[in-house]
Amino acid sequence: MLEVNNITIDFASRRGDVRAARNVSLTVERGEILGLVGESGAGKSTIGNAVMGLLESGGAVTKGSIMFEGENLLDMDDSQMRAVRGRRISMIMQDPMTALNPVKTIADQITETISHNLGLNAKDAMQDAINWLKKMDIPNPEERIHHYPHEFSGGQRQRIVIAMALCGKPDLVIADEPTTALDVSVQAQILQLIKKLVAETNIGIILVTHNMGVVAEVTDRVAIMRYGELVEIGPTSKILSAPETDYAKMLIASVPPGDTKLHRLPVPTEDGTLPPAQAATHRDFDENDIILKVKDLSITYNPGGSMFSKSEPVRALQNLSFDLPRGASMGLVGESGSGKSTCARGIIGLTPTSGGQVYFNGHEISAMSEKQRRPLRPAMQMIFQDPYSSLNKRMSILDIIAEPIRFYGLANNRTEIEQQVVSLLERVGLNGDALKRFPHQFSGGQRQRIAVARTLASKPELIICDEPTSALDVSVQAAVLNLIKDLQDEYNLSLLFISHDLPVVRQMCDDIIVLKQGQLVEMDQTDRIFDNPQADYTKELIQLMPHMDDFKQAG
Amino acid sequence: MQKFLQHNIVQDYLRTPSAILSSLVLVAIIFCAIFAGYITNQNPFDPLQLDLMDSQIPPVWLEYGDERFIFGTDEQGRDVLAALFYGSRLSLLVGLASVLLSCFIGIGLGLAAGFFRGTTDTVVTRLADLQMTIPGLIVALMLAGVIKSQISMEMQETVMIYVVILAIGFSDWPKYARVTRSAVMIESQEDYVLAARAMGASPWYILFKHVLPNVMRSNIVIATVGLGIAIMLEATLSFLGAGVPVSTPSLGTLIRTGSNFLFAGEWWVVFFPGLMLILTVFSINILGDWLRDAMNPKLD
Repeated sequence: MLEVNNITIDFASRRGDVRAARNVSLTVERGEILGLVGESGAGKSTIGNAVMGLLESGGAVTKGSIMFEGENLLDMDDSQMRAVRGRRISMIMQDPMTALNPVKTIADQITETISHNLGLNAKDAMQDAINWLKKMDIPNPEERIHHYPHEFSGGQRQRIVIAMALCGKPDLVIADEPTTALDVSVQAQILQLIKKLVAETNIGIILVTHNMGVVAEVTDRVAIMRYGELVEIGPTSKILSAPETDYAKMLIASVPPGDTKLHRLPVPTEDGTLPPAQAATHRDFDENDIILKVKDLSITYNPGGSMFSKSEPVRALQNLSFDLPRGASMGLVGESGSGKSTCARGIIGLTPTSGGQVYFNGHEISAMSEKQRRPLRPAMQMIFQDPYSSLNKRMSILDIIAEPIRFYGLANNRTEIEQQVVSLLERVGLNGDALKRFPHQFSGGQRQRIAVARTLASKPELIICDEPTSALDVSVQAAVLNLIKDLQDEYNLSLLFISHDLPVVRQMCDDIIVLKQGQLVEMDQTDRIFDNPQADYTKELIQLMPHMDDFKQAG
Repeated sequence: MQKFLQHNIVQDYLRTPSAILSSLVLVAIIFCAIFAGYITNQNPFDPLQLDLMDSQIPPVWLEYGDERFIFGTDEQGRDVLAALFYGSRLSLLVGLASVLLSCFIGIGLGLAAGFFRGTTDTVVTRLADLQMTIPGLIVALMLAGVIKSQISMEMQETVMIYVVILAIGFSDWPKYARVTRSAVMIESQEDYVLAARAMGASPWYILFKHVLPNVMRSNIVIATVGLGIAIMLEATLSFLGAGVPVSTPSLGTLIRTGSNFLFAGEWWVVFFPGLMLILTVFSINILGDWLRDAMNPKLD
């Protein structure tokens, strides 16, 4: 149905032309879901936009053709293209929070699309729209259709966005990361829905994603891209179980498995070969040597309200207790709004706690003033989620890593500081050349390494990791996770590891706490949580995480 | 140190002819202003060097022109070209000093408002809003005029230049305060501020070490445009008689005195200072425009 032949896409920028895609060819058939995967900068979204004729300004297809049912989309003028867009090819955007117009009701937005594309009158269009909401499993659609976007949850909004993409009865849908902004449980439902719709309506879908789990779950064929080039294309089961190119092998091996805990994730060595994956051995800890003890910790926010109305305080965390033995890793898991990040901030003192105690190395830090806490600070550090935001972009790498050293007075003079920074950089796999450079000169993975080096600068005993790899590409994630594990072994670090990504937590943690809406659901050893979950909510979470295990080779 | 950043900006600069041209013009003007004493054969501020015999000579290419005075002379025998150079020196100095003053007040208040929020924020924002309801020229005119009327003629000679700097500086701060405040509020959300807090750093440490360097970029851009505005304001004040005294003329004062002779046919006394003013401000604005684009990461 769709045939992309050898297209090359260039973007004109202030600093010369940038090639976003080079000689890419792919096809999509009716009733097929094609996964378009790749890491950031691979050009996967660009391909999708090119098919829609919606390249950002400055971008142009300079070579090749895009044949859609026998017609070359690139030869069409604007008005012809408008007739194709929405009616025959439509798009599902990534972020359901911004894809809907907040000042119009759902009814307005869907019926507008329907009457524009299908030429129905208002009454029929409304009936059609209600039917679509029904198909999307939105409860009570006759009434809900008159509501505004903010009255729906994120998952429901994405369903509405999908309904809008499909209500013009297109032949081809381009879904650009349709589930990336959603929680795991919602993601699974949306993927099932997409799969069902394809089977029912015989449309073709290009699913643009960076998530291999999503690919494994729903796609029939998959195309892997890197640096704007197509690396490999073929049936999903074949690519996932027996990839041919080195890059595809590496990409697939980097995905943390959800079924076993590996000693280290496979990352290619310098000669490009992948080391075989080894299962991790169980670690035991001295239950009497507790580095972090949390007792009945509660955190309550007061959203403030206005002059005229007092708002209800939000209970972000309620009565959480746990012990973290020295050298161990504790995982805090939950969906958005579960209170896992709040808990971390409460422990390190970024958010005031409203009840309970936190003991660090036997000292009750929750009752201390900032001044009393100061001597304990170096031993307790935090790695943040987004390395693009956690490094001050006006400071050189030397200054960034040296900041805690200077702040805590851990070195005597300039040369000593510089020596320490260089050895820290080497420890995280960067060399001393980085000293004089600035954060924007590094990739996401390198920046997170720099952030890790800064954390290590004060020789901590406990590191709180707040989703340290969720902003990174999967192959980079594997390397950073391995680094954190290596450092943990080397310095006997204790980790409090916060993540929504279950396979990642499985790789990293000895024990896991599952949180839901600020309350403890389950706490146990990692293997037991994954292999034999007790609480219904945990079972659901584990069942819903995208599995690519079915395709993976044994060993 | 910032090799890469400079490298990028230099690259961009070399590719923008308007930026090259305007900066060349500016450099020439600044050079003439600084070395006015060496490249002119007369100090127009020194009455002893003026000769009434030389008064009202037209530019050299006109009939009765004198090659000692390329752009002619005014009614006191002052060389227009020399006055032009000495005048731009004063204009640039006042402009630069008042922009620095505005920046100092504006950035300081903006930092406090954006970082500490609450009452500080309310007070600063309301103050800025209030001042922005009155045009900058009126504020400066009021300040300069009131002070000028209160001091003696002798004092005016020396003090008036500082009064003008003060008046212009105080009239233009809300712009910097607003930009700084919103930039601080954005930067404070960034994780590196959180990281510094997690390290145990005090608000003052975070404010000066982390937040301030990150809000300077947008301020530098508006300060460039602000420099053009300040020079114009100074010229306007001087033209209206609330600026520097006639004995030490700035471009505005030259235009003011020159305008008296406009209808007598001596157009050159007002024309050249006016041209100089336009050229200076225009170049600064072009350069400011380019700087805004070049420093805007979204256009990369």
